[in-house]
Amino acid sequence: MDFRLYSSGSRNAAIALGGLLLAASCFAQTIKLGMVNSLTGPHSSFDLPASEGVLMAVDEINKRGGVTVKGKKYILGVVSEDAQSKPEFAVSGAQRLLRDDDIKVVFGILTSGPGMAAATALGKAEVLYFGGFTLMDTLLGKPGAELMLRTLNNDATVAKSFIPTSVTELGVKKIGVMLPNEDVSRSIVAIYKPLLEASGVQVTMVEYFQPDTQDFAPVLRKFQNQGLDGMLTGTNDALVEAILRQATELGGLPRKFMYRGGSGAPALKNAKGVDGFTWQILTRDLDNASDAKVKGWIDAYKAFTKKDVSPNTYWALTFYDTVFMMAKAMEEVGSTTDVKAIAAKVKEMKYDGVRTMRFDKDGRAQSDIDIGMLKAGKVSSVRASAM
Amino acid sequence: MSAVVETQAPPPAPRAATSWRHRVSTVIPWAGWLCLAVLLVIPAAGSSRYIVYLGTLIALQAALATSLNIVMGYAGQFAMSHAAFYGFGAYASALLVTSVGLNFWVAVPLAMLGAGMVAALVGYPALRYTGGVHLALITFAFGELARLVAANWHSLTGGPMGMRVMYAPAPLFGFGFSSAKGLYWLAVGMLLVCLLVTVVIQRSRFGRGLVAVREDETLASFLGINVVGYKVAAYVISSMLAAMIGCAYAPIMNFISPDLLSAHETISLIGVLILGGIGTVAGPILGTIVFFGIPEMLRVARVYRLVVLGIVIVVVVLFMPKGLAGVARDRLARWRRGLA
Amino acid sequence: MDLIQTLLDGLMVGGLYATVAIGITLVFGIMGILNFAHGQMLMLGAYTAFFVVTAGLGFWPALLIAMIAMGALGLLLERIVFRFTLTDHMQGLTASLGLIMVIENLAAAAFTPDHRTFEPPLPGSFQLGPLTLSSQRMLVLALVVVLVVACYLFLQKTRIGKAIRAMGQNRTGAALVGIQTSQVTAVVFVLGSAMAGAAGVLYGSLFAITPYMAAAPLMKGFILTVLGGLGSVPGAVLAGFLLGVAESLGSRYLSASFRDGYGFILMIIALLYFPRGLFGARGKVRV
Repeated sequence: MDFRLYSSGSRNAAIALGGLLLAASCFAQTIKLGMVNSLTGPHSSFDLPASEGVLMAVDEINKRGGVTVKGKKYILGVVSEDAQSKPEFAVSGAQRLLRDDDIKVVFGILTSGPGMAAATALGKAEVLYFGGFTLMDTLLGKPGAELMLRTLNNDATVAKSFIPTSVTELGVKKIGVMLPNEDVSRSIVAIYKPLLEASGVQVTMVEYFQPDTQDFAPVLRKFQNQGLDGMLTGTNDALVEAILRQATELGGLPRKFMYRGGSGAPALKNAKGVDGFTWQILTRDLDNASDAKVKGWIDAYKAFTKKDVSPNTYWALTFYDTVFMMAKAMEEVGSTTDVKAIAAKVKEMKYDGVRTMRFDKDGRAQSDIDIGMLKAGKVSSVRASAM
Repeated sequence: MSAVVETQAPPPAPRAATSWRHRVSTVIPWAGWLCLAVLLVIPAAGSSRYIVYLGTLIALQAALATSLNIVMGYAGQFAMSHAAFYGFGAYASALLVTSVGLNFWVAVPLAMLGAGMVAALVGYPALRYTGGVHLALITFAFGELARLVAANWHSLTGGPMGMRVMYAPAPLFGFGFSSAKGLYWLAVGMLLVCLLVTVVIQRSRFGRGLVAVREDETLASFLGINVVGYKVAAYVISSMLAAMIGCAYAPIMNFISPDLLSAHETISLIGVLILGGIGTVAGPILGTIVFFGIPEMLRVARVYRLVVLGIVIVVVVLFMPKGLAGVARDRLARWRRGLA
Repeated sequence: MDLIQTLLDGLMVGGLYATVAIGITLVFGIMGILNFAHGQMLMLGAYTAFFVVTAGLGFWPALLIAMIAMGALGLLLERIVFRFTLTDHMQGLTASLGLIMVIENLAAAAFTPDHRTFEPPLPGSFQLGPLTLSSQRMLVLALVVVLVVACYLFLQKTRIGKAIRAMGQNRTGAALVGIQTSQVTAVVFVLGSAMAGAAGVLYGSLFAITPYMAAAPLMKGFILTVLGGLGSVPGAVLAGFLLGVAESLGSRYLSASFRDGYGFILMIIALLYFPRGLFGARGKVRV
């Protein structure tokens, strides 16, 4: 059994970084970046790749010579804290980062539980915070949140392209909604239901199940024999995979699914029972990369982390481009510490990296996304614009 | 001839050899209190934000452990619902302050009262029977039930995503609590209250009765002790203190999540208690410092931090069942008598 | 139709819970220790099956290997930890808490928290008259019944089984009639752990496998142990089926979000009104 320390990739990177720092310390100063992520626990499937993406970007920037601000060379260093998928540790991790006065920029957290807690702590301090969790959206645009940016599109933006495309591709007319009993789900329903109805689809049922359910039979049975031809479900791979699998086992259920979030893995694993499946890839589809930039990035990822691409690897692109944007902003603004100016600069930028990144004035990301599709056994994806 | 019984005067008590040990050993508890006082002052005197924060967390955890010690250490009952009352206090006070608009200092006793009533309702049936298992199971189930309720009662508690808390306690006697240091003193205050309650109980008849119950319930009832009443009282007191500490948690962390009530938290607390030594005053504090000290020291083994803790617990349970403080106390007693 | 399907689901799930509960109630009955780490055997059993199946060896060898491996692990734990806590039950309980932390986190480090699944031997569904039934679920139900019956026969008919029951009734008395108590405790641990391992394999064939999956079945196991009477195997089994059906009906017709709550409420009520459980094997001293 391969005894994998799943942080070994990041550890190697950190060692390499350390070596680089040691060598370069004679010649350049270091800009310290803070990173708080759930490296352990159930949320690590999102956060761990995201952290790898940051480390990758930092490594590339340092290899090409670092950041040059006002003629002085700087290299980037990363201080990483583990949120352990729990709000308390997210806060204490954030606090540990904040004690270091050199850290002015923090990346991290893609899940709302730890995320809201950490954001509350980070919001009280003068640091530039790039986050990814859904409920961050409720914080943006309010006074005091000028230094917060979310690098993933919010539901409202995503749904506008996701729903019409899915409805057309799948050809559904009457669907049911099945989501875990969380705050995020209610906001999903509030956004998606009207859009579905506007696309000519009837939404006859909305059911919430306990978030840590393993046995979906009782809930699925509510959808049986209702004349439904599709379902909207979410919010992470583990859940949807189980739902699909049990749906095919029970029989009498719709065979077309729209998945808010995640990847195509659930459908691929249950291909026999599924007629159509669409999902949202909030960064870039890595499994069907036709784009040269994406392919290049995949190779770089494999070389950097010594790991293969998994269904969750695309989360590594959450912050990857943003690190470059931050570096560029620092160079253009001429400061590594004036976070207000750097934030403002990042919000003005349009960056064509692996993703096309743009932020609005409140710090909400508006990048394009990919919509994955599985139809008649074939996997494909469609790029959708964010506007 | 009458026999005259000579009574010899008793030999003069050997004062030289043992008395200095005696004197030194009676000083040690005072030294312990002094150490604690110093530790408590350090964060306030320094200027590091992080040390203050860490100190606040440790003070909270130590207070929790101390309050659990009352029912687990002195009464010997396995109460697995401690974290549930902690969370109850947090949610209750947060709701009372934000929705009803009460002053923080009014909300705290109300939350404690509510917790006490619930504890009495749950504890009384559970404690009618001897053997820790019944109580352990009922409280375990109750704790998980509470967590489920907190996670599902969206309108009241904000559901699984938790509740954001943005208030700070109102100033009391001119002492402000809205700064980080103010909140630190709040946590310390809670710790001191728990310590006070522990010491008072330890010295009282109630406390001695509890120890009797812990050692042998049947015998205790023969001695006229109201066993069920004492056990329930200990459980209620512990739970009310937990709720009190929970009230402090909300403004300090600014965030309450239903996971706060989970059994995992109680299990960690029990581990801390066992490690430090149940039934002692210093035990919970020692245990908390080690519990928090180890992860900080072993930053390299971050992923394995909990594994190490688990091993430590098993080892302590097997080889040092009295915990660090218990072993220290025994050693001290033996030393005082001039042995070891 | 719906009702029958829901009932069958409930029986299946309840049977799984019962398989876990048997181990807990046996260990408690014999040793007085409430082994919180029991759930970890289930989790490790599931992972064992995952690795065996993905290595291509198939489901049935996986079941066998998992049971043997977990039995061995149970023996190991009994030898190095629980043997020393026979006199102090709370010590045993606490030690088991420590063990949970060790095993769960080692597993999380070694296997990563990503969920795993493996192909069940009988995917899909089949028709039985007007009913559509899931093949794998029915298989699990059948296997669970086989396991429980086998365990029951073991306890009733074999010498060791009788020794176990004797120890459960009165440890000193059992020692007096020449029963090797240390051997019996070892056997109890092996048996219980093997059952949990089997339950883990069955769980893994239906649901996702993660390092933290032990928590829910463990809680249900405790509930059953209490409902059925601490130390009573038939009680635990009956309680298991009852709980499974109650949960299934409750989630289907009432609220699905509150699923786990039904069991806890049942347990608390049972503890209040039926303190000796359905088949209370041990009397409790009222003081």
